[in-house]
Amino acid sequence: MNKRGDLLNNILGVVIAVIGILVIFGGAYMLYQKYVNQESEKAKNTIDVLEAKINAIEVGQSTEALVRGLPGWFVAGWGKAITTKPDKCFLSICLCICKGSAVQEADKVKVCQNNGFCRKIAGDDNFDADTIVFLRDNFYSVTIKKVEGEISLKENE
Amino acid sequence: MVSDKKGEITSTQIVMIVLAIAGFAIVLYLFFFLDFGEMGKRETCHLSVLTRGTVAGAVGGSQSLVPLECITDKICITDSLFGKCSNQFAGEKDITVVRLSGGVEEKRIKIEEISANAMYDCWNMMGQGKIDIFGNFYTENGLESNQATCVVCSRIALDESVIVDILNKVSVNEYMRTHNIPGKEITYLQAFTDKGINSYAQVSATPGGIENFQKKLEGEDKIAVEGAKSEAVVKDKVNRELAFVFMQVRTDEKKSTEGILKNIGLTGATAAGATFMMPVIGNMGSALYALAGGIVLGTAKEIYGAFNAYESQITAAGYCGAFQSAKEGHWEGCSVVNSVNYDFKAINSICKVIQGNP
Repeated sequence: MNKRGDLLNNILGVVIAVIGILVIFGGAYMLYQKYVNQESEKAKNTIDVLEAKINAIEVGQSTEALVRGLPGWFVAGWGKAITTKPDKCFLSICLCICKGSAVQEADKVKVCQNNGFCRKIAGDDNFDADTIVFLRDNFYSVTIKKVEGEISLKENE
Repeated sequence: MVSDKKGEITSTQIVMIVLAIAGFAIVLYLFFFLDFGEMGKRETCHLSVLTRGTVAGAVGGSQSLVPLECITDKICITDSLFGKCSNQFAGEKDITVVRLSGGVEEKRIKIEEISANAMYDCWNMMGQGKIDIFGNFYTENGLESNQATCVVCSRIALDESVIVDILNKVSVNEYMRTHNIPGKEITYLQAFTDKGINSYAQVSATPGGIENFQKKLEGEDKIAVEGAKSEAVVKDKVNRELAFVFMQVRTDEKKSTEGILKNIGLTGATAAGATFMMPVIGNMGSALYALAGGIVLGTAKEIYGAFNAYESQITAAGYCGAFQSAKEGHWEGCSVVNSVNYDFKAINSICKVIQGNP
């Protein structure tokens, strides 16, 4: 009996099964992102807004950003020349949003390395960034300014 | 008997495979690439509001598990070909740019139309104030209840090209009184209140008139609002960005909003049962965006709501009463939609918590 090519008879079933598995896993991942990972998504949104605002302005310009606070998180930044910063920043100007305490500089670096989202900012400028500790769940205002050789990010009181 | 089982694919099988892959590709395309635009965002937000409200009423339902899928609309109104409100929206995505055309009157009407629609859409999207959206979110997260919680529905920014002469003529309140909602037989004012209502109550825009109005609003349950007042931002320049904010406050369990409605009634608000529009401050033709300053009522334990007095020249619309999706125990509260300067002090003085995706 020649049983060559049995697989070909079942190929349709295999294709549909693979597609179905991909859809199920994809859907489960999206549900996880949406419902279980809400806080992380909000944190990423906040840091993305700040990064976009920094990149949108030219030297000599400033802009204000309103971001929603996330109690338990803080925003911190490091310039290119700073060596003590999260490894994920590597050798760049870096802005991070991190979950945890920001009392000491060493704490900030460790917390951001382990539990933060960082964005690299292009350029060689100094980066003078306030550490913004989110204590409440409404708006925080930040002024971002670019002058020759420096980017500053200051929390407005 | 020898049977030949070489693996030939029949034409039927080929067709089925192709159809299956094509169908999957179409579903993927619909999922990732079709942009239903503003309508899609509004409907998504509304659906999440309804879901939250349903969860609130369900035994063991947890509102904090249901995120509000409400993304703030960003609208830039410009009078130039290349304007894009870069002062307000630098670096931000998904901006809807509306270019004004025609004479001063046409431009004025366009600004009024956009503002009125923003307010009305916000109200509808959030369930017309009757759904308990934030109720047990507080207790689940160990927060103090009865805090004013807000969703920023939209931001409307005016590009520098829109001249002050046009802004000085804008009156959204008058537009809402005299124009029908697109596709409906009623005006915006009637939609917020009642079909039979055709005018606003007014409050004199004098310091005495406004103070008197504030006192009536606070009523007998006078709460300490000095803190909130100190947060007011006084500006003497044209404000070029407004936020349309939906705000909701729940009363303590089983506490009625009857007293609050009575106080609102005392101010002369245009009321129809549990829904109302606050009196218009000053002259109906007052400028929309060139406003002086704000005294904002804060919230407190005896909460009845947070309404701005003359923060913006657009009157606020609201509902006070039982929430439809409340769990047993007769939860009541107040919901308001109003416009606020897009300024963190102004918004934070009335919104202790912000939800959605501003």
